[in-house]
Amino acid sequence: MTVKATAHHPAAHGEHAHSDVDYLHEKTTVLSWIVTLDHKRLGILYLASTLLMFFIGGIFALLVRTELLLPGRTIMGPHEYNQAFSLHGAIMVFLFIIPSIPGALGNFFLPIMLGAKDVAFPRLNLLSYYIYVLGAAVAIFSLIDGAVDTGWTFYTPYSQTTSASVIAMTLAAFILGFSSILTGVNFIATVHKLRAPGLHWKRLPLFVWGTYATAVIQVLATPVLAITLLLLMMEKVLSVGIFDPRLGGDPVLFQHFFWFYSHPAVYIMILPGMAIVNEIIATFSRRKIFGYMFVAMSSVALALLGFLVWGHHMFVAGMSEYATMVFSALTFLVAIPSGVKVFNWTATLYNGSISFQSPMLYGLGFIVLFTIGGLTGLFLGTLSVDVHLHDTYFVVAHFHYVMVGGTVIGFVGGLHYWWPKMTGKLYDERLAKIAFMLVFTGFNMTFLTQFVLGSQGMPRRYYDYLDHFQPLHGFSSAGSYVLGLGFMIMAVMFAMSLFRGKKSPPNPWGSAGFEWATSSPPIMHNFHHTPVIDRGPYDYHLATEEELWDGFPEELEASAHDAPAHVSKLGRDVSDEVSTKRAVVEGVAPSASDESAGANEGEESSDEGSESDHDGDQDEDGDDEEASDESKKPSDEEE
Amino acid sequence: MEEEYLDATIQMPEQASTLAPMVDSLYYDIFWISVVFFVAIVGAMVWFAVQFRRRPGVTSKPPGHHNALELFWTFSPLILLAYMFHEGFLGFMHMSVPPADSINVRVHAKQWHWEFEYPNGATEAELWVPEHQPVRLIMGSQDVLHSFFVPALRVKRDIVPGMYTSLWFEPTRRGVHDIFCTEYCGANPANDALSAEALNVNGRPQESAGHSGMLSRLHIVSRAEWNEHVNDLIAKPEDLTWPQWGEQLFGSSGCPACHVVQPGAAHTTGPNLANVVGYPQPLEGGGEAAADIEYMRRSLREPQADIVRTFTTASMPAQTMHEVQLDAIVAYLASISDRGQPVVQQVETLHAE
Repeated sequence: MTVKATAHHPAAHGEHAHSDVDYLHEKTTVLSWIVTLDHKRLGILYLASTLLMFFIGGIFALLVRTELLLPGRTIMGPHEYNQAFSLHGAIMVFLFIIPSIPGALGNFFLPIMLGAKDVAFPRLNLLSYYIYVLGAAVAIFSLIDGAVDTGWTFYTPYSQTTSASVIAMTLAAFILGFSSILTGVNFIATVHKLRAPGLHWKRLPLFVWGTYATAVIQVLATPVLAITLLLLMMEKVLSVGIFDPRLGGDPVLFQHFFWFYSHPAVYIMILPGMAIVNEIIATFSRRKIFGYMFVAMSSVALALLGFLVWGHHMFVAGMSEYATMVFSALTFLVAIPSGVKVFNWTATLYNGSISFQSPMLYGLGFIVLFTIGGLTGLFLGTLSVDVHLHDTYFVVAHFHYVMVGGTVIGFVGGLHYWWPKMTGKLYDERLAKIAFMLVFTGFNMTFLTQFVLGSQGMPRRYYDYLDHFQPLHGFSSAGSYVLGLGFMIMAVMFAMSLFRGKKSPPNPWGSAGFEWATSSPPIMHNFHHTPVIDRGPYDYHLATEEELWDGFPEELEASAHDAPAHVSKLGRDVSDEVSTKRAVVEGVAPSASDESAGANEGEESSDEGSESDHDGDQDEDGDDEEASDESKKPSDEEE
Repeated sequence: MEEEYLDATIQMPEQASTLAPMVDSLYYDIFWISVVFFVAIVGAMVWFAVQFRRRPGVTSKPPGHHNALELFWTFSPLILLAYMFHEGFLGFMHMSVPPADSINVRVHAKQWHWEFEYPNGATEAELWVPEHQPVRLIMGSQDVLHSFFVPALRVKRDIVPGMYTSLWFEPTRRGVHDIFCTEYCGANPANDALSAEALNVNGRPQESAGHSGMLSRLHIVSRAEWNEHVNDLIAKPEDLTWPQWGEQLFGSSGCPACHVVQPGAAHTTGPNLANVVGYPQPLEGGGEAAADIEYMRRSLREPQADIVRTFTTASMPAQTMHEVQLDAIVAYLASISDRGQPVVQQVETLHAE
């Protein structure tokens, strides 16, 4: 990628004379945040909101696991437990997983990866965020109002007989759906209309492909949820018989409607996670994703197949045997694009140059956990075996491997990966690795155990259980505490980074991805001038040494000038390339503005530097990201 | 014959039906296929990660085009997938078609209680079946969704209000197995106040715990034992009086979950049933009913017909038990009313022979 000047550049430069200031410092008033139209700030707002919801949902998860630590009453009564697991599910699904990656990381990086200044409809983007906030507020209200106890699925007729807060919670999900739809519309338009010159579809970063496929599902499937929940509310408030057999309705119809949205929603959740993993694996292997078009198309295939398999949630629900046959067969087809992704990620590592910094640990962890999640799906897609496993802990474990082991691990990996770009700060790599080990270990302790619980016949959504399930439940709960501890350490690590992290160079991981070409944090308009894309985001063999430089631009310049026989991290003598590259860039205005930006950054970095000198802990692994020739060494040590 | 059916393993509970070995063998096929894929993928990942770790002087190589490889791993798994789908579907169809010589047992599911009705009309809260006899369960729900699940049989089917669902199995081993409800069916908020001892007795969750307490047992016995058991259900035990037998049935039918029987005690979900028989009952919608034997029978069979005033929020499930069992419960309720003696005598003379 070249951040070349466009023909009309000088005029553009004149207009944006102030735009060297990064997006965090452009304006700092509270008002400038709450009415911002900037996709990056909205990404940060989404990030903060969804992380808060993740925290609340996580508290409910730990309450549920604590209740299940021992048989009988442990810390709460049966109805309270039903509320706890319902809220865990509803908050995690509707308020965290679905909006998290598209809303936070998608908003932030999709336009930058496309070389655009913003999304196609910035005001719609702001509206979408406030609809999300409204939905969250209604959900919190339902919590205070006497929380739902229906599970996140609101199955009828139980949801028609239980407390009134079902209306508040379904209303929240209804509102949140619109936020999701607006984000989807915005992303589709952005990808179609705002790609930088030279960024044709075969060069699109795979994160964009994944987010695009997600957006298509959001736009097509979410209205069905809205209709379903509206019908549910109509029945509950107006007693119009739709789902309740006492009013002449059909409870199984609700399940069809619900899963017609909620199965595609599973792909709304997992596709962005997969999309992030593509970026991580490419960056830390320094290699183009193997079978790029197959991986891109597999996202589209998953998005389309996702619409055809909702019936596999209902194999024992009283559907026709022939319908189950069709749904089972279609369900197995989902394994194909999922397998294609996993095979290609593994093949990408081959002949790569792999480093094991924290985002890559999450990337590799994702492959392991998603593989387990995917393979256990085979048991559930098989009709006769599903009869035994349906609605047991096997299902709970399976979807947590996909949703947490997949989406959350992908999201957290993406957060580590892009954190320096979003905040302009580096974090303590050692703490990050400790947190990863705890999260990975705790997660497997919690959920691997649940596969066995489920195949032994332990049903899900049980407040209490027979004594012989206790050892496995106890171990699973212990694992959830390890998992919780891992997330707490991660939170501390990120908080430390915010307050005293070292300043990040523009490209700390040495990635060829487009988003790393701008400064960290990005300037208000992302790029000084619309970039012209002349290679793919993973073409490490085409990227110049300057583009892969994981240090501060001024240091590259210094080393290029001061050390004629400079040897790059890649072990080649690149002095010629660097000077050639600089010759290409020379004379065009961006380099001039880059220099002024560089000077600006230089001042800041000296401030930061003096702060971080006091912090000896961070230095060892901090070297990883630090702009120096030594950056290749720590990864060797990790072997 | 018995050797085919395995004891519990680490992954699976013991096999107690003819369906179990079929399900398990496919389960283990998929398990080993998964293990092979997992080891291959993660093994390759670890190997590549170590082999191609970042080293000075070594750069990554850009991937070329490998359409053949891509097509290979896109389409070759279809063979295994087709095998799993096919076997699973055959098994499912086998589970869906009950043999012609099955006996029918009706299952009535209600929050949070099971009731099983045998061909002779007798009902009870635990299911007894004769071994090597195909049994078909015809299931209905009186309130919300439930699901009948016996891990040892490898059968499960949702029970949907407003329609009948069914499943069948042929039990193969004598013994006692657990029956679970696997479709979430809620809990009574009022029961949060109950003590730990009331929610779980001797390691078994109670019906007051809601969904997780909707537990029962499956007894697989010899045919002779089964015949005797089913007939005994509708014959008053000789050592008990009618009210005593009724008290037993009152307990085993789940009535105490909603009704207290201490005179003067505050009512719970349903009315306090002490001193009801023989006293006029104020009805919802006006009027009174004399609580005679006919009224009591009707209140059990059709609880929504004459609702005692103010008890409109919770709906009592209809009792589908045999009429002899029903009369025993009426006799019990009469015996705990100071005006109930005539009704007790009425029941005794009615079933005198």
